[in-house]
Amino acid sequence: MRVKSLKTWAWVHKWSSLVCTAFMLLLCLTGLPLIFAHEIDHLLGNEVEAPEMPANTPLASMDTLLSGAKALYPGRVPQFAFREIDDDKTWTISLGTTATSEDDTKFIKLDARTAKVLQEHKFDEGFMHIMFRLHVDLFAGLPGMLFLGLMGLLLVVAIISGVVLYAPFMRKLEFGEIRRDKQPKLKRLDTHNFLGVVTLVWALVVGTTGIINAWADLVIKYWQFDQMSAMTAPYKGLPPPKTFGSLQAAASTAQAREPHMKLGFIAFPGTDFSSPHHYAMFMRGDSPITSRLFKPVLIDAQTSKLTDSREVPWYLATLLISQPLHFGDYGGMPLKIIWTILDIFTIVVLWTGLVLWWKKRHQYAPDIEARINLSEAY
Amino acid sequence: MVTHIFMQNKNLKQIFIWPIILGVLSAIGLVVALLVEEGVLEGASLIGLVTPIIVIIYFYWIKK
Repeated sequence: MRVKSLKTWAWVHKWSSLVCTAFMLLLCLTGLPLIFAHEIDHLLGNEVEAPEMPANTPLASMDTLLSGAKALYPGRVPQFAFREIDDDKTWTISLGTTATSEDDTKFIKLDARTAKVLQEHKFDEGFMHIMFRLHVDLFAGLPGMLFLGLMGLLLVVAIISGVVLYAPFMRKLEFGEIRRDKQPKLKRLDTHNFLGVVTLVWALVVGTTGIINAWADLVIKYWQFDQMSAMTAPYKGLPPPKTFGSLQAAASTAQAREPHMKLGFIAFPGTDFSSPHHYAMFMRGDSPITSRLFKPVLIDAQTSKLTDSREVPWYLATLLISQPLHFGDYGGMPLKIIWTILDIFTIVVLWTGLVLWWKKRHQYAPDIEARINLSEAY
Repeated sequence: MVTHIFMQNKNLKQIFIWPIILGVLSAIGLVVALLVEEGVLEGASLIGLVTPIIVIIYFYWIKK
């Protein structure tokens, strides 16, 4: 490689890294507890389990569940109902002050078989909530998300330029060689290069999927504009209904339409994920990938009859598939542990990179050739 | 001025062969775990993802 282009790559690597390093360290650190969000919630006793019952215990009607939740807060409006993929025993129903309100939402977790209220879930407070917000949007909403997405983009640039720079510095080193007996800076450099190149693909995947996730809100908004409005076009201009039909009947209609899928998420009429006239039933498959690809089935909220159902468009599919690849939550505990270890290695790469720069920020290196020859850092 | 600046002790192939092998293993591991739920393939995908970690542990802590 020519010295001039090498210098350019070194400049790109230095500045793309420097700008994003502080945020990447924050993301890696807050990401660690988030990998185990589920387990930590259990440990802290924030999640009440439904009691064990025989597998063939009949389920309560969705209408009973809904009225059970509403009885706690009579003035409120149901927004969403959801359940975990591996949990058929409970439903959580969220109640807002209006159908689209975002603050002061109540989350009621109910037993799906007895319709008994299990707990009121506090999703918007506590240690894990702080970790989550710092990781997702720095408490700054959409601008915060997009900003972190931009930092992720810089990370990808830093990784790619790092790979380019890896070659000239490795000409005289064996793969995996760490010069620990010489100067500490050589050990630091070798550690940075070695850990960086070995965790390369994982870091690129988690980085890229993180960037995609940063666009989640906008992608969903576009999907509503693009698909939801087309599906609900026949209802355009009609006055919103005052009374609603049976939720259970609507759920059964959706189930009949997609007999091989499972109901995972319900958006009530008037929310961002439905229309004023519809229950939106989101159906999922049961493999790691199909369980992420929620398929919407729109049910008329008065008649409980099917209105429309469409496949997930490519952009929403991209978002939904990039989520597990970012979270590492699709392969049980072994994958979570792998995520943790690789996350820690990434922290080491970020930290050694930062120290490498800090220690030599005052050194002017006119003779890059000599430095490369010694396999030192530029 | 050093005259043999770019004396190529190792060529690109030699430099990148192990990073590429480990990268491919990681990629397979990441994707296969997404496609299959359990069974032999799931184990294979975990091996793909664990290998880079083992390589790091080996070179960093075991082989000194």
